[in-house]
Amino acid sequence: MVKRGLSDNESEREQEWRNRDKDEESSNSSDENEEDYSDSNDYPGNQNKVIKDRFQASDSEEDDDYDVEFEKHVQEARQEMQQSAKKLKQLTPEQLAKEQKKIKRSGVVYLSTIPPYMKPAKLRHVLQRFGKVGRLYLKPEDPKVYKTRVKTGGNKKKKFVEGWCEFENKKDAKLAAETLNGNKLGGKKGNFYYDDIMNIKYLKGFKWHDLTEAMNREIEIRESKMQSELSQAHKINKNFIKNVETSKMIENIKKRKKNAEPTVQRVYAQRSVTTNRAGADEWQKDTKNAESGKLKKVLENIF
Amino acid sequence: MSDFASLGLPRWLVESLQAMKITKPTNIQAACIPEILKGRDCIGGAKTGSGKTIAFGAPMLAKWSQDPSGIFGVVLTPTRELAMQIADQFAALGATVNLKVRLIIGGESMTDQVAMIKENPHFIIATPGRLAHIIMENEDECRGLKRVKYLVLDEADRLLTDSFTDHLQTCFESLPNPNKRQTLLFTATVTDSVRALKDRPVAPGKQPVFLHELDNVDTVKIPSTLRLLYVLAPVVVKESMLHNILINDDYKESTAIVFVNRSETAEILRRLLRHLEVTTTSLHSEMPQSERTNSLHRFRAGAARVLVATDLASRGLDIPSVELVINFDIPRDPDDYVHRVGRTARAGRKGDAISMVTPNDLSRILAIEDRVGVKMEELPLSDNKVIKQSLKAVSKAKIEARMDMEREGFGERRKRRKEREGKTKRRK
Repeated sequence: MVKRGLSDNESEREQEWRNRDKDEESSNSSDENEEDYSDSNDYPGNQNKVIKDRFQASDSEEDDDYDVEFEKHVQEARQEMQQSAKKLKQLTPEQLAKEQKKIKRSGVVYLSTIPPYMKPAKLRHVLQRFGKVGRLYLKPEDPKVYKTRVKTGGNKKKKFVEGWCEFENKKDAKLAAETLNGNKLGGKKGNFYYDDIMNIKYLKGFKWHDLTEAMNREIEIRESKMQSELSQAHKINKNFIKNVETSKMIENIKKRKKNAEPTVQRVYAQRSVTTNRAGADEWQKDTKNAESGKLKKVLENIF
Repeated sequence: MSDFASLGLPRWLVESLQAMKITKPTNIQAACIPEILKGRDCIGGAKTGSGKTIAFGAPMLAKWSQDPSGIFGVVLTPTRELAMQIADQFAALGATVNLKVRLIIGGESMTDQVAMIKENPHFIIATPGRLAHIIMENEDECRGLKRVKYLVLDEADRLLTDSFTDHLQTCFESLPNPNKRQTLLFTATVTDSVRALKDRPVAPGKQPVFLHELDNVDTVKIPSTLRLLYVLAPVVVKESMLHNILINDDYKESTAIVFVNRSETAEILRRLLRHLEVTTTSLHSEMPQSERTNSLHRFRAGAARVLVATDLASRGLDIPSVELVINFDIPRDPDDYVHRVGRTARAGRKGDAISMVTPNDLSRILAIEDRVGVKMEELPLSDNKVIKQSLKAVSKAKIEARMDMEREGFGERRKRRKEREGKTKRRK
C-alpha cells in the first residue's frame, strides 16, 4: 500500500495542494463544484472510505449502470495506488530529516460541525487567514439523509457533518482554533455564512497520519486476506482444469478400446428428499413434522 | 363455454377483464366460477400459470357488486410478494367500480394497517403472520372481520403446513364460522392436508364442497411448453458454470430466475453476478421489505435481467417475461421444483428450466423426474468455455462478494431476531 509521510510521493502531493490552492484563488465559481469533490478526496486513505460510503448508497439506489461504472472506478483507483506504490523512491538522509521536521511542525484542528452547505474550498479560504493550510477532509453527510432531504423538497446542496484540517505550522492551527471557536464567521453583513458559528478545536499532539493509520491498516489486512483467498481459489481452479483434462483423456481411451475396463465408481452421500404431497411414496414423507394436533384443528375449522 | 359473460359474470367485470386482454376462460376458471357464484365452497387445483387468481377473484367481485357490505372477502397467501401481486390484480379488475383493496403484510407500518382494517375495505389481501398479530393486539378494531363473506386460501398446500398453523388458527378465530362464509382453496400441488380436507364430512345445511381436478392435478404436472434440462456441476465450479450459462449464446439476453436454497447463497450470487456485469437483483428473507419490493419491481420492469431468489419467489409470482429458470440448488421437496419451474412457460409461452446437479443431488433429481414424469435432457455446456470465460473472474468475484458481505455484517439481522425470540421464550 501507499506508504505515507516520509516519501517523495508525499511531497509531490503537497506540491499538488499548493498548486491547487493557487488554482482555487484564480478559479471562478463555476468549477468550484469539481474542486469540492477533489478536495474532500485528498484525504489519502479516504478514497476507500468515500467508496465505501458510496457503495452503501448504491446498494439502496437501484441503478445498475452506476454500479458497473463504480466497479470500474474502484479498479482504476486500485491500479493507481499500486502504481504510486511502485514509484516510491528512497529519500536521502537530509530530505528525511527535513520531512520529519515538517511533520513535527504541523498541527491538526477538528471541526465538529461545518456551517450548512459550506464547501471545502470556502472553508479552506476561511482557514487560510491564519496560515498555510495543508490537507483538509470533510465528511459528507449520510447519503440516506441527503436523499430524504431532497425528496421532501429540501436543499439540494451538499452538506458536510465534520472535518479535519492540517496547518503547516502548529501556531497557526492554535490561533485559528482560538479565534474561530464559538464565534460567528462574520465578514460582510450580506454573506451567506455571516451568522454561522464555528466549532473548532486544536488537537494536541495529533498528526494527520494518525487519522489515516487505522484505515490503512484495515485496508492492508483486507488486501492480504484477499490475496490468500485468491491463491486458494486458484489452486482449486487448477485442480478442476486438471480433472477436466483427465476426464477427456479417459474418454478418448474408452473410445479407442471397445471393451473398456470396468469404470471406477464413487458413492456420494445423497441429500434427503421429503415431501408432503398426497400421492408421494411413504419413504419420502416428512415424518418429523407429521400433522400435529394444531394443524388438525385448523383443518377442522376450514369447512 | 367460451366467454366470461356466459359464466354468469356481470358486464362491467367482463369488460375490465377484456381490458386486461383476458377474453377466454381457462379450464379452472370455466369450472370454478359458476360453482362459486352458486355459493359452494371450493377446492381448486390447477397447474402453475393457469389463471387461478382470476378464478377466485372474478366471482367474488361479482357477488360483491350485487351486495357490497363491510369487509367482503379476505385472501390469505404465504408470501408478501404474492399478496402484492394479487392486490394489484384485484385493483385492476375493480378499477372501474372504485374497489377498495388493502394489503396487510409484514415489514410495513402496523399502525397504518390497523387503520386500514378499521375503515372496512372491501377486500383484504393478507399474509397470515401479520393479520394474526394485528388481531391479537387490536381485537376491537378487527370486529369487521366477523362479517366476512369469503375466505380464500391461495397456495393452500403451503399455508396448511406447520409453519402457518398458529397464525391461521388466530385468524380463523376472528373470522365467522365456516357455515357463515364461503371458503375457497387454491393450489397447484396437493398435499396430505389438502386431501384430508376433501374427505371431511359435509356440515349440515351446507352444499357439498366443489372439487376441481383435485385428483388429476398430479397427472397434469408441468406445462408442455417447458423444456427440462440438467447440467452436471462439481460443487467448486458451480458459480462459474452458472455465470457461463448466463452469458452463453443461448441465454445471453433471456430473463432468468436463479433459485437457491439459502438466503446467504442468494446474496453471494447477486453480488458475484453484479461484479461480472450481469444486471441482477435478489429476493430473499434477509432483505428489508422495501428492498424486496424494489428489486422485484426492477426485475418486472426489465431493469435487471437476473433475479436470484430463494423459495420465497417460487410460488405464484407471475412475471411473463421469464424465459429461463435455473435451479442452482436442487430443492428438497420435488413439489418445490414444480413450483419453481412454474415461474416460466406461463400461459402457453415457452421456457427452459436448468438444474445444476452436484454428485450429492442425484437422488433428489431422480425423485423429481419421478414426480414430473419427464426425463431431463443434458444441457451441452463446454468445460473449455467455462474455464476460459468464467472460472478466474468468477472465483475472484466470489471472494470479493463474500468479503463485502462480511464487512457489512450480512445475517446479523436474523441473528439478532433469533436472540430476541430466545429471550421471550425464556421469559415465558
